[in-house]
Amino acid sequence: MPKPFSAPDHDVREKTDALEHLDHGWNVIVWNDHVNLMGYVVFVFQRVLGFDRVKAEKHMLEVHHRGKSCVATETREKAELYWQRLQQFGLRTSIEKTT
Amino acid sequence: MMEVQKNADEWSLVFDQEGADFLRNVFRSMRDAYKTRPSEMNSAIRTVWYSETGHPEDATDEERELWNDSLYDFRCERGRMLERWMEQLQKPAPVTLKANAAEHEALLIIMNDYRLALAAKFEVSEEDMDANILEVSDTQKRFALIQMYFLSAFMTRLLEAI
Repeated sequence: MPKPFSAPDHDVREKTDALEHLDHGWNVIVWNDHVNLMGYVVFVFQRVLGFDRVKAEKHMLEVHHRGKSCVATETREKAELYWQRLQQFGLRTSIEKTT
Repeated sequence: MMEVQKNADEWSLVFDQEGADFLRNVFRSMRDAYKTRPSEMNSAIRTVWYSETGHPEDATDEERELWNDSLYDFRCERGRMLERWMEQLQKPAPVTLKANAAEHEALLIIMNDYRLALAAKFEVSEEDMDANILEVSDTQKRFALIQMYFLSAFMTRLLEAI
């Protein structure tokens, strides 16, 4: 007899959580450019990624000195959202699957 | 050149005549540029405004087009805001431009987009940015650099005010 429709049981939830965990494999990369102002990049990191000022400055300096910074590792869906939002602000951004 | 007066979440940006005239011209250019479809715009500007790189490797052409369409819509939505600000900037000095909290971000993005477009169109390099403007022999590039410096001064004031 088929089981009546009900909320997902514990096993299903665990499996879903595990799949979500596995999908947290997309890096959001911000690349250096010589036009965007440093203060503007800090502002964008705070606004889009919710970084506090210290963390935003750390990543901005990493972009400046090393040419790029990985600002988030997320599910593909969330990484794409960040990527698009950062592009709306004019930052050079890419997403790539973690290796 | 520009003074920021804050009243709760609303900013009043007060300009002298030169600052207001300059910004009105920037806004006019941006209103027109934002309406231009990516496929019809200067290819250098398209590269910085619309992503042609950075997509996931497995993204299809259709997905890339959708992403660019969404960026285009995002920029087009600024049109009405730009019209309103241009009207405000037409008044005699001291000229006040009003921007509420929801518009602060847009104002910064618009100024930044203009800087990106100038740098792309006139091939402004890092060396050009560091050079003494008076020593830049290409007059178009020199003019682009002057505008970029003006806008960075405006943006720095706005960022300080946030």
